Amino acid sequence: MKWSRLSSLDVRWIYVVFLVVLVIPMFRPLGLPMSITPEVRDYANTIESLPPGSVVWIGADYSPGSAAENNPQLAATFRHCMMKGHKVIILELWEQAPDIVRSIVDPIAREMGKVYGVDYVNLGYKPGGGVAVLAMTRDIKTASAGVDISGTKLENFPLMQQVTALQKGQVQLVISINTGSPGYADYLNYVTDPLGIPFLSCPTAGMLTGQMPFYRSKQIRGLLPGLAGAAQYEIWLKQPGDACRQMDAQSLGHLIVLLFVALGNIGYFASRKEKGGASK
Amino acid sequence: MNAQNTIAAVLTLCILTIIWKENPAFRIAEHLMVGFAAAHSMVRAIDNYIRPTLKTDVAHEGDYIALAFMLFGAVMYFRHMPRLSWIARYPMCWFVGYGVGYTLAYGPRPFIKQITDTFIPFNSVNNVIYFTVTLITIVYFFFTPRWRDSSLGKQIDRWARRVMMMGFGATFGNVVQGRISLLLGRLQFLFRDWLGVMK
Repeated sequence: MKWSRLSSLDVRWIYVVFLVVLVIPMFRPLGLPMSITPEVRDYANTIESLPPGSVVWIGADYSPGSAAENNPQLAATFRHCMMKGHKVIILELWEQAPDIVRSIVDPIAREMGKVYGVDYVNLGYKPGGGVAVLAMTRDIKTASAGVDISGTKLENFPLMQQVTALQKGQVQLVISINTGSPGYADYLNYVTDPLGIPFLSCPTAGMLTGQMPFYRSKQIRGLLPGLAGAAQYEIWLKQPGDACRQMDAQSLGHLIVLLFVALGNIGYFASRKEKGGASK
Repeated sequence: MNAQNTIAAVLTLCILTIIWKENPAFRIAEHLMVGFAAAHSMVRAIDNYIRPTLKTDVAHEGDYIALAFMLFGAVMYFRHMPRLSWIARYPMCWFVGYGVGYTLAYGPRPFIKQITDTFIPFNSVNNVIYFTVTLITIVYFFFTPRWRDSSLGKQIDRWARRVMMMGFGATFGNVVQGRISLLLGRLQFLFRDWLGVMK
């Protein structure tokens, strides 16, 4: 076999193999073991340790492009908050987020018998990114044009009568579910660091390395990185959901990537050797 | 298999055809996505912010300052009129000035915390690695000192590049993980939500 041919393999063969390997465990789960990392444990424990009735602010800042990673994070976080009896206020700084967020949180709230306006409020999309977040620290009503996602006035909701600003004392925890900017950095810079409010973050996997230094310095108390983080959190909650179902396929996908990286390198070195031989 | 899911599934498949090669189905889906996203963004901003502000703050509560700022922002459209385009610079000056101001006011705090976080005791291997890597990476970005040409300087440069490559490698690995997750999300949608062949 000519190993050098591996380096010129049609990339579409890789896609076909990849697709087959990912699809099989989706239909026949393998039950591969999974451990919970300290970041995820800290994330879960922070929510768990808040007294019931605490107000949790969730910044759901993503779009359909990363929904596969962020939706399970949001679902598990919101479910945990509702289980613990926390009150949740959700704000979206990305214009495509509100409809996705509504499709995730409303069914969970209905299932758990939670009341909109009392147990949670969705402020919807507010433009301005960091400026909007900063304005929320002064007065939520002014910063959000006085209405929620459906255009209902905020004064109609008992929860929003209780919480008038994103301030320490009124909000006990801020969580950012993020995939870029605006996102976690806006909350970190303008809210949680200056005001001393505990902060948790749910980045997409690709953003994890950028946020790890903040976790190390305790500026972020816990992290839920990508789908793997969400799956670990679901296990911690003993509520396996979408994320857990996909983890077997995810793990096999990584194995395939490693295999192709190895084969690609073998092909590269083999072709280099052949060229070297030919030049002699 | 409802109509909504069928449209989403067909568009998903159109986008995935790019794996094979560039084709009209991909182009149509791509253009639809860009157009819808732009329109959706505009509708959301009007519906969730501009209209309630005009209705409540301006019309009911007589907060005409909000209206004045809205008009000030709209002045930006003068950039499309060549003879009056200079007027558009004024709201831009405001935005840039405000943006720079609040970034400077709030930006340093988190990073100062990052710096103080490197003042750590050398009581674990992790701490020693963390401190050393931070130090040599910062040193790498001092471009002017003469000692960089010395053998020690070259060694530091080499190690700084190595540790940075490790960092980029970790990021790349995570990005691969993220991309697989996105594909799994689409596959789950196609098999479960659209075709209904998966639990």
